[in-house]
Amino acid sequence: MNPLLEVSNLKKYFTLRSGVFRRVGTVKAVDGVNFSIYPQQSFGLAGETGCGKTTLAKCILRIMQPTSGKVRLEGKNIHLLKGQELKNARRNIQAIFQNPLMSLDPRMTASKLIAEPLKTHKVSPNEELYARIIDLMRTVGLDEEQAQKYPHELSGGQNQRVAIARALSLNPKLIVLDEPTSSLDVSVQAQILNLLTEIQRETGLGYLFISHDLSVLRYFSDVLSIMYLGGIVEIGPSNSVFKNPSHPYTQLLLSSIPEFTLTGESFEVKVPERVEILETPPENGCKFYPRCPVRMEKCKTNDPPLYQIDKEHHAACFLHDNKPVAFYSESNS
Amino acid sequence: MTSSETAQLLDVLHLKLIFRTVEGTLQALDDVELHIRRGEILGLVGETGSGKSVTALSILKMIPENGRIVEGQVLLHGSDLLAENEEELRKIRGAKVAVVFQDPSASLNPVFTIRTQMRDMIFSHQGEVTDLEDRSVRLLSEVGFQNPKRILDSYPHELSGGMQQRVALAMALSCSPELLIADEPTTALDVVTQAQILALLKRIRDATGTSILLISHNLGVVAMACDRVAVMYAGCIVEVGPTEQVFRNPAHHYTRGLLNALPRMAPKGSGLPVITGSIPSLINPPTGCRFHPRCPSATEICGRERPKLETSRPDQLVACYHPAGEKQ
Repeated sequence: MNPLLEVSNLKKYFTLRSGVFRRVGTVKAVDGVNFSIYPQQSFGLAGETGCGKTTLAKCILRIMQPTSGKVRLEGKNIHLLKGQELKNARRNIQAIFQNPLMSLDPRMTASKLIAEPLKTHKVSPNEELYARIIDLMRTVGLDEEQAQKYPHELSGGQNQRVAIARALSLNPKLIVLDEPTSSLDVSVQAQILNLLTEIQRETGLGYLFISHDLSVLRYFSDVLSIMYLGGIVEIGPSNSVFKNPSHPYTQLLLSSIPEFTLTGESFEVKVPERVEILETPPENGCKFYPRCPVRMEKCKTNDPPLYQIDKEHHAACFLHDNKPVAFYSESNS
Repeated sequence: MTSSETAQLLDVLHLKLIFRTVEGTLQALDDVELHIRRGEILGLVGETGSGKSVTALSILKMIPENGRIVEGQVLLHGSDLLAENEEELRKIRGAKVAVVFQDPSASLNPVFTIRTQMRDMIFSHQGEVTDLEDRSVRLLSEVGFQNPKRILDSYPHELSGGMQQRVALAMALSCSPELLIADEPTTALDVVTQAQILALLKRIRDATGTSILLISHNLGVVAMACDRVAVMYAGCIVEVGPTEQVFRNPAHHYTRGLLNALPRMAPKGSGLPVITGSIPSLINPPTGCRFHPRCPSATEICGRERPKLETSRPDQLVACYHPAGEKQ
């Protein structure tokens, strides 16, 4: 099967300036990221604040031009598309953001908001427009009477449903979900996650699900990737990553999830209590070096490639240097 | 007063609070009863708008202008805080009862160094002290800083979110409060930092014996840090008990629904069980039990009479006519 979305060696650097001209440094927000998303797949992306998750999403949505690297949607590099082809690509890739109140126009009613993409892309003739809107609203679990309401009259969960209806209106092949449930309560979060799963089952679209909440990702994603300071440090089938976390950062993240199981024995916090280390990561070495509990001398001067832990499970850590190097790491160097 | 009651530090009794809004009178808290024991970490969980934060703010009588406490008492060592005047309250706030809020960058002043802010905090409650520097250094190292002197010279923007929250905690602890109210202290932080702050809260409690009221919407956070938990729904406390016991065997159907809705163990695509309906408007709340329109076990009495918080299992109280049975 051909991938829906292919991201290869994607880089996005920001130049820091002091005043107008003087460059003082570069921030490598996304630094050589590779992955593919297949139809009907939920691809999870986890990481802490500032690790480059959202920058990556923006490059994929062509809201931002990457410094280098390719983003291919069904084989076509979206950053090179123009005219009608670009318009088609935009239809095929939609986004849902964290805070629906900020991504929805406060002066448009729910029905207008849902109609907007349909009108822009001229997909429904005017006489069928309303029927299509109502149809979409039903799909996402909104009542017809909510069509004339403004975002401030709807709850957070209902607004997020409007955002989902908007994204679905153009029958996209991929939806980028940037923290779609982070601003919602647990009971509403469950409803939205169920809705997204159901839509995927019916339409076969792919999801790029960005979240910092690992328990949501474990439930939702087929493939999970862990990002740290601009790079993917571990990637693999979700089950495999949770069962056998192979990068020290993934292990740290997993041990920090505040959760419990009904059959669980322990309620204890396992994380060693430490204050953030202000050391900057080494220039050429592993970015995780300053925080790594098992760091070695070579980690300071060499950036580890992704090693193959299991068939499709890769981790970028020298602890696994007895294993073969994953192929896209080679093309990277 | 019986002997079991004397172990309490703070008692919130029959607290009823309303907000006047354009749309009508909002019954934000209805007969809230909460007991915080000495040296315990009590979690207060609930969804947005359930009244968690307002409960905490009422303890210090810091409610917004359009709010009014209609009924109830907040007893600290048996004396009613709600009956105190502003001047007395100012002495209690920060000294006996301290608060840490969600966004640490909003509770620190951006234009002063941490040294200045800590000095002001200590000065306002204890006047001129000679060992100010030593005391600040000690407080900062208590919250986990390895180089407290450097932190004292920093401005808030030079510190990360987790570090700012540690500074806010150090300041809250500067007057050795008997109760620390932490309102969503980790919501703005990353998971790793969150786990560290929660571990720190436990350590503070162990070291100083300070009681902590931890408010959170995150059930995992409560499970990780709290000895006991109180669950709020639409302005009412629906269940209280030891954290592990409540989470293993929730007696209230709302608690049970919330726990089931967590994407924890459910296999992918299986569908998460949801609580039907949505949170009611507090302007015109449902009669009787406020949860009854959404409750799977509701009967006629639930819509008629408000259930009282009653013991269902040892140390576990529930406000429900038909509490869920024990599992296993």
